[in-house]
Amino acid sequence: MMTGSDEITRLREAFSACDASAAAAGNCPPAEKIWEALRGELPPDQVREVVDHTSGCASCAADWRLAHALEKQSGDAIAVPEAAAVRRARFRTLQPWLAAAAAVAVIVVGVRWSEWGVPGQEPVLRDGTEQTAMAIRSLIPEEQALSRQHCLLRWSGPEDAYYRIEVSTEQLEIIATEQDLRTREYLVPESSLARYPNATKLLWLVDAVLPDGSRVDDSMTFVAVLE
Amino acid sequence: MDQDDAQHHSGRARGPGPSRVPEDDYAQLRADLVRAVARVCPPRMNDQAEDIVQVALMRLMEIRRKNEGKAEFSALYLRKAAYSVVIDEIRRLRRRQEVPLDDEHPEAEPAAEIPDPERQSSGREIGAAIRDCLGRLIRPRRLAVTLHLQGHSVTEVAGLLGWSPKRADNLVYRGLADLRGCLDAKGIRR
Repeated sequence: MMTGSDEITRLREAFSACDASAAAAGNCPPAEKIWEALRGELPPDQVREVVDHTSGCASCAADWRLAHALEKQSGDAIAVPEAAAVRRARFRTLQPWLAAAAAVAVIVVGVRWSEWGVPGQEPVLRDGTEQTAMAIRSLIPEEQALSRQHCLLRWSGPEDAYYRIEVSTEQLEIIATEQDLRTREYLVPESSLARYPNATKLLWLVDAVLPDGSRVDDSMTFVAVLE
Repeated sequence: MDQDDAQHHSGRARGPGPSRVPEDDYAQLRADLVRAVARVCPPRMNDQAEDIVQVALMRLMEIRRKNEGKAEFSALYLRKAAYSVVIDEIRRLRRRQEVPLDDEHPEAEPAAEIPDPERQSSGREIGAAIRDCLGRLIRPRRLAVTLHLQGHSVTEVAGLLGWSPKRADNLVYRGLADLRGCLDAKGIRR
């Protein structure tokens, strides 16, 4: 699923190449904050702020890499963020219940899966470059604001496919999902949008399952705006 | 070992105690810092790595002396403090290097002495293009790809940003695809 490792290496080298004399972007976080973010000692939203800053500030990106290098040399794995550790602890206590729920889910998914694809055949994930004819594209101009009373998302895509759509905020909070759509449009329920202010950006992505069981799941994530 | 270190060394008790980190830890920390600084900092700063670390550790010693008996310095705290003072020192040097290079600054390195200046320039251009393209990605993908370009695995990306591994994988994958598209549009060869 990943790009070639050579390309990743070259991109990484280039990304770190311009910090030689790069001026700081301004509003740089203190060194302690970079350290704490790297070690997972900050809440995720603060980590994201620091990372977002490093995406545009070559100096702070270098500072991040220095912390990373130092931690690697100390032999410590990057500390598992507290939130993730807590989630795992909670998961362990919920496991009996989740196991039961998972068993039910497996039965349900198994039934649905046999309805979708050729029985007994694993769905084939296709590389997006081979699927230009099957590409899923938004039919909503990004600058067009959508009313919450009629937030209709439309896209183009392969014929006779079942579609799955996921709508979220920029913070990846899921707003709505729907699957097994036969039409290439989805009306986001008004009730799902009620709590979000005007001008909220909606991220939405669409996957498709073709009649032969293969999937088209490489669409861009599209952006829409609530008016 | 400088005088301050010698004085500290002669008066310390054996074994760690309040404000007393074993000398081996310091030596290891120093070595780790020098290696990390030399690896991460640009070539222009490489020959300054030892000096940067030395200045930083001296400042750290001063901080410890001021807090003698008041606080217990764990190895982890020491590492964090050392990192902070090293970054402060590097930032100070960066600000100095932002001064325009002209006849008033004869210590400035002539371009002709920089090894392969054309390649360095090309690398910087691509790096700048990458940053510009990152700025155009939607935020979740930008965060994921930034960390991936910084050397983090997808699992680490997920853990750092508080996402599921599947989500992180999806965002890194799609973010890299967006990045490639943007670089292609700029005519950047990778």
